Amino acid sequence: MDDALYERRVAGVSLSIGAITIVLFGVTIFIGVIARTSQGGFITLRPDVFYEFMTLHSVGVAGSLMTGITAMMWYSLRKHLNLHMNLMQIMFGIIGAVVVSLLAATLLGFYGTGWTFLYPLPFKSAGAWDDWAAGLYLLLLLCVVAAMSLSWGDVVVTAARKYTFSWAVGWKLIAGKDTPETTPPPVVLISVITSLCGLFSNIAGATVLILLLIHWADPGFYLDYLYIKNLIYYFGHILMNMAMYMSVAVVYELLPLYAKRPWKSNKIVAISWNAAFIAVSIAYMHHLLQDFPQPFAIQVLGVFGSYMAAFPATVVTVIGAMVLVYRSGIKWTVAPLYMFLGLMSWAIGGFWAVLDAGFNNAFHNTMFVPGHFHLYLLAGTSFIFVATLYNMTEELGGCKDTFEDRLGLWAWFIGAYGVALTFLLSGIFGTPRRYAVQMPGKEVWSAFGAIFGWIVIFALILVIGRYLTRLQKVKPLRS
Amino acid sequence: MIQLFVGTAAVLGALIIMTIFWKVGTSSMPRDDDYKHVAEAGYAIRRKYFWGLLAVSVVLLIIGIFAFPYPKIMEAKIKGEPFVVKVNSKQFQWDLSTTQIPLGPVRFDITSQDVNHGFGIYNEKGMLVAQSQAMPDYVNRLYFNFTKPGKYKIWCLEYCGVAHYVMATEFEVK
Repeated sequence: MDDALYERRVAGVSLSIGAITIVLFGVTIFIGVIARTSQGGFITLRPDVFYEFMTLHSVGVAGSLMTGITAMMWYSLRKHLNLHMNLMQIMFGIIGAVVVSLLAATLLGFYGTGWTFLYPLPFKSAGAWDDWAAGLYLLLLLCVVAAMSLSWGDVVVTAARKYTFSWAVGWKLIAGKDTPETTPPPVVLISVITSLCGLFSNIAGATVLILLLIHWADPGFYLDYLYIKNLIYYFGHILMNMAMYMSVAVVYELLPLYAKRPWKSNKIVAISWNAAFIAVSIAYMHHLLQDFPQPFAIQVLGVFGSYMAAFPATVVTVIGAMVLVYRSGIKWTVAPLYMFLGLMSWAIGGFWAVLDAGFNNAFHNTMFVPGHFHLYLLAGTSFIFVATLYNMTEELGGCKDTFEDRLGLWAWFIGAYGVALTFLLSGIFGTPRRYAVQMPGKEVWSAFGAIFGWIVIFALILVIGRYLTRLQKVKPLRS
Repeated sequence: MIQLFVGTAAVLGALIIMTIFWKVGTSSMPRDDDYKHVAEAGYAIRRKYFWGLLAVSVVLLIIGIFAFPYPKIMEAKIKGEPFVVKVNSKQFQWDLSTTQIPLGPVRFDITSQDVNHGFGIYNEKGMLVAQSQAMPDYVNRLYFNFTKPGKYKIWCLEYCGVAHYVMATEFEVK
């Protein structure tokens, strides 16, 4: 396949996956807003239905964003790496099948542990969900691990073949070597490091899911609770961070196009992303700070890793983006604006995450936690995902921004910040997370949160409608 | 309360980050073609920011470690023998060895019979004052020095199933 045809095919698949995942994302956000509306006291969901909705919302958002961003990363890599079309299509196929099965597990099997669950909750539901649904859910997660491993493995292998492994991960740059012929662009370097990190977390993910499936088949099979908790958080924490990091890789490729300035790989970028690999790998430990049997050194390492994660993110990427746009003459069309605001939300959400780790006994499992991750998923990763959708239709279809595009952006911005801030404030005042009915006196935050949630729904209707309209202007890609 | 202090820092920090982004974003015009000059100025700021962030992180890390309610740290801080309360949990109830607790240092020995729970102690104002996990096969030792008498409530802070939100009980400190 020649390069031009390959690029057209990648663009075609990316546009389609973009359309499917943004719609799926919208639906799962809608389910989340319904749950929040119930917490706010505007409607009443039965507790079992609330937890089914919570599970659908969390797994759906994680899955749709991860899939969408993977497609966008693939699109951004198309000029540098010839990834395997077949592997990518298999990956997207598996994820599609997982979505359908997930609906069966939650709606027919009443499964409701949420996205991150702790052993042995799937097997001890107090009669709330069927045993087969727990097994199916674990199997589905294992399928996601397999699908993501295909994608990430392909990125690492293809980049290593083209640049050699030590160039692809930036070690040669760190050693002081830098030549235009051998240095990979930042989107390749970051995608490779991110993919490697994801592959490591998938080893933990596959291990824990297989162990849990054995326990599901044979309840007498003993598992250590603390060990399983470590594996689950190592897997879950890194997986969600990968979505953000993949989106940042895309920014390194796309923002320079708008700023009309180069953003190249160099020693600092290589050091920072290798440091990010280490930081994100140990930062998961802050999820277990309230488990005192965990060795003290690991607890300190968890807090240290959380602080360390802020360095590569803000010192290199955020300041790098600011230098790129300052006095660049950039036109703030919707695509770069989504990217820039997405980075801002990443910085703020990351700052809140550091506070959560540093003062964990004050905030662990309160609404402060969804406050930080809603900001950087709902106004960070998803903003960069949408920015890429706008960039693709602009580049491939010559689409221009309209009033509705800008209205969608700012409505989403206000809604997302309102949602995150109401979670955060609620957590500051001690509201526990994952309550179907709020503690007495704490409902007011959920009520305001629900109102902002509906603003996000309004914005999503505009954004999805506009993307599907813009998509029609893209010239037929098959030729 | 530490929550209000850190919460204020969280909101103020967010406003500062937003202001910086706003200033940079609105300073994109006119274009300066001498990018090397712009980049050098930016990287000079980056160096200062790096050292500033490092200093703040080290200070916060040290404060955080000593404020951490880890049993060994708390045992060193607390003078005398603490009053011990055995806490057992199961879906969806708490069992305490006593609900009458004296003022002063208390050690909660927390465990679970089934799934993971979160042991969160709330004061009469509805603020979280201490917490720990409750995990099967393990005992979490949570130390807390009660300085104010009154009724305290325990709420579950780890999602443990469909009635998680009603898993609560209370005790009195006097």
